[in-house]
Amino acid sequence: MPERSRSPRRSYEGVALVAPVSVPYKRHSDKPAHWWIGKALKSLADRTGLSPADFDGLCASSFTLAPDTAVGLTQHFGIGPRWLDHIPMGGASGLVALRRAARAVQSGDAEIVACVAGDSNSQGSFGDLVSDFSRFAQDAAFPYGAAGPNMSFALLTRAYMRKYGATREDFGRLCIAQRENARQFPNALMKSPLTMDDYLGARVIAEPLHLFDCVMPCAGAEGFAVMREDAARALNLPYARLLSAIERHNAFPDDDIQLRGGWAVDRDELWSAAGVSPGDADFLQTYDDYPVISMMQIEDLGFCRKGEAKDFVRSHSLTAHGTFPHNTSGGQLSVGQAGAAGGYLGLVEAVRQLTGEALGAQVEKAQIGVVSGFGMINFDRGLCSAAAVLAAGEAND
Amino acid sequence: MSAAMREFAQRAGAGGLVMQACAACGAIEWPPRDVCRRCWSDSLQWTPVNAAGVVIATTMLHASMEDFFRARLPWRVGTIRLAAGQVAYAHLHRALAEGDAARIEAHLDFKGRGVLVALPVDAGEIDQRLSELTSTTEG
Ligand SMILES: [Zn+2]
Repeated sequence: MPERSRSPRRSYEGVALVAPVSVPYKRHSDKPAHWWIGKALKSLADRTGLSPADFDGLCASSFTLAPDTAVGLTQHFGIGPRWLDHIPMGGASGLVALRRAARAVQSGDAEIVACVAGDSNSQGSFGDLVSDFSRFAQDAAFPYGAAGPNMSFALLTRAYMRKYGATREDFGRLCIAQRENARQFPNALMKSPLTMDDYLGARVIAEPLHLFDCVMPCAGAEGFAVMREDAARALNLPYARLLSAIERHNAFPDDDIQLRGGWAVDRDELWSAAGVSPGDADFLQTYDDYPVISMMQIEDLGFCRKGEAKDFVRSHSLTAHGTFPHNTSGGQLSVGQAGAAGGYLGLVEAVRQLTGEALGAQVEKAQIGVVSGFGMINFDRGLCSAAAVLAAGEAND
Repeated sequence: MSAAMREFAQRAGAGGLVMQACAACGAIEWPPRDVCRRCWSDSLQWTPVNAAGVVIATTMLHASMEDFFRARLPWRVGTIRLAAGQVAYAHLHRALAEGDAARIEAHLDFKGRGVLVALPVDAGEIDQRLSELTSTTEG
């Protein structure tokens, strides 16, 4: 293969994230995804003081919008944006939307981009979503016991535990700290205290996964707006800055089973472009569809060495006021997984933390935050990984 | 089921293991597809392949969305590294553990889906549960 120098990535200087919004989740909802996304857009308009026509860019993610895409939303919501994107990347959707929107406002293709994700969850609809998830999943994963993603994650959790010596207690530490955070987060669906005995004694789903390792599917929506920093200041909106961002798809295709993700490929570039190091982060929001995936992100983003996340979670307190604040809203494991909005939850929470607008526990003096995303078990592993380093905007200091 | 998977199912249950092989580069494909993952050639031919594999990970499922499995929980499945090259899910014989060598067979399941079944190298027959998987027919 010819040697090629990689083109240098331009900086994300001047990009602002504003108006983190969440539409409170419901376990089940008969309202379609359009309603949930529309509610998020209305909150964005209310929070920014802008009218629908002021948003000249729209980026949407949803699993339950069919037969529509973001295209149909423009007519449904009566807008005529000059920039439009639809990101079908599940748990990486928020970060990928941010990356696309940031370039749009930097280049002038759009001035104000609404980034939204929302999903419905009617009774029984989750089974359809899982059985029809992707061609490879339909053909070569679902027939093996019809357990959906729980099977794939059970197998990789088992392989991870065997290889690195992580225990159920280690995963429990993550889940319990997140529940502690969720107890203060108004939108969390699960707020009752969780003890290690509760965690360990829960019903088995797919060995070694038990009930509290699995997210609860629900309906909900999340969103934020992307604009230039000067626009955010002119609108007098608190904002977070984007220091750097990465994405990667189908990394390490020859690994027997997924014990690492694309972050491991791109993390050096993430940190060097941001001009900070893992020790500078005031908090980390990982994509926590299962706790093993959060442990992988802690390792692959460079917060500890590979295989040592077990030691990391043993030596840190992971609540919003702990030594390593992690998933400060409670994460999907306690807030619920509102489809593609689950891929926005950590990012929206990060913007809140950095603008001092936390709905629940506020990380003290949060200046640098890291957000990570992971998505789409197309067959046997999650294909999309993404991450961003954010900083508090100057106006908020 | 995709058209390529239907072609696999038509060949399942006839003994041995048949998968797509790329006529251009020799790669063996799984899951079945339309274009080679290594060289993007579309000349994929159904070919008998080495039926050996190694068990990478196992799980016991305690919940399922299909009645057949619900009636037979817990159900054992695993990840297999095929000697032919790819990684695949398989229904697992109860005697198989991580690191074990396995023999892979293709069968039709109770819904007519082509599935892989992993057996111990020295096991003559599939166990009772797996035999129900491949002999039961649901509408
Ligand atoms: Zn080929």
